[in-house]
Amino acid sequence: MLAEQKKRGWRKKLLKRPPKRKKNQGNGDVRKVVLSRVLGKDWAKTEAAFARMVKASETKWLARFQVTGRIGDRIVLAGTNKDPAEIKFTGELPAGDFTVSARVTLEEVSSRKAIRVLFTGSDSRIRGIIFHAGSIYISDWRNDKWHDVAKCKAAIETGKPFEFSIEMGSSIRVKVDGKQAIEHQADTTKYRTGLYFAINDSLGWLENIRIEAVAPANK
Amino acid sequence: MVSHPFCIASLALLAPFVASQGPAALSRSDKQLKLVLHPGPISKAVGEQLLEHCWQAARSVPGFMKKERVHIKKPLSIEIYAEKAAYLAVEKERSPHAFSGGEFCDATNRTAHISMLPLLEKSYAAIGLPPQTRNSVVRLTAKLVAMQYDGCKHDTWLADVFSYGVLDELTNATREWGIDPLFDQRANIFKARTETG
Repeated sequence: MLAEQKKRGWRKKLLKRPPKRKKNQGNGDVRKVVLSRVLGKDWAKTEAAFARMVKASETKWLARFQVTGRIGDRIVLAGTNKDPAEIKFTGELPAGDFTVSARVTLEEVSSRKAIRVLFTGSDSRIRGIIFHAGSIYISDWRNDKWHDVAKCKAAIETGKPFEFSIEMGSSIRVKVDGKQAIEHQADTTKYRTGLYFAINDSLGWLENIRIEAVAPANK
Repeated sequence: MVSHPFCIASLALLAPFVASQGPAALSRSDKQLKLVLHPGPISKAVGEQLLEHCWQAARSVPGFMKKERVHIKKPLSIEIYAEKAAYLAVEKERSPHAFSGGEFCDATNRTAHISMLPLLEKSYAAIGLPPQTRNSVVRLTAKLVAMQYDGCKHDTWLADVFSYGVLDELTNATREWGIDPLFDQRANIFKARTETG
């Protein structure tokens, strides 16, 4: 990563013949000499620059299970029955009420056709908002299975993009394409430790994922 | 003619040999690169699509390095396996590593072997080559090129450094965060190590 920060020509420099190994020199010593051609000889400066770069990196996603990645302008999640696909949000969730939104397209690759947005709590609780073709479920994961707490019909079709938003406030409020689909009373403060997107036996595209604090209402 | 006892016996001897071959591998090559996809249970049509994506991924590397006059000195091979069992058999025989990793470079034979991530057939048709597999093709092609040069010939760690640099430049040259979980993932590993020391 650091090599890209430096001037061009790093590839050729890295591939050049290394210096002859001196007596008592190990692999690490030779590597330092080779890398110095690109990064400079002041290793304290290089290590400090690397630490700054790592600290400043604003990563947002952890690829927990494959298949995921970026294709074109979209993030893809593709799972099988046995192998889920999952990404975890690694940024900070807002301290108060917040909304998670995205544009999603579910593809018709099996009979399942669903994508899960998961909120986790400190006591290992998991609440899922599960968008299926034709319906939405709000469910809890307990004892290795989903337990539904609420559901509704929804205008979600495979092959057709839809915008969802999930507001985690005094209740869980789910909208699809700007229209409220379902509201479920819940203490959402219990689900603030983690946010995931996951898929099994389906394929989904994600675009424009936003996590935004909800401004408190004026008293 | 076929009903002759000798012909029937000969055909019977051939049957197990034919049955054991499995689906034929798909391949594409030029003077510098040879790519072989072992499709396993994947249909021929989807296999051809995946082969084309693998080819584009592998060819992106020499094109990219040409600007700095870094060339493929001797022809390279990339072998991709849709079926994990087929990959594991090769890995057991040829990998220089003590662990199973889903991919490896055989420097002696200038060949990379990659296990493709499992997906539903319709998912392959919808997305083509899984992004992680694409990254592996790009990175190991770059690693094999690096291992042909004196700087990395005897140090695969440096070849890895080189290959990740090429991969990052090809997949996210502007280093934008939050758009590719696989790119973010690599930085997450460094972050975790920096925090734990």
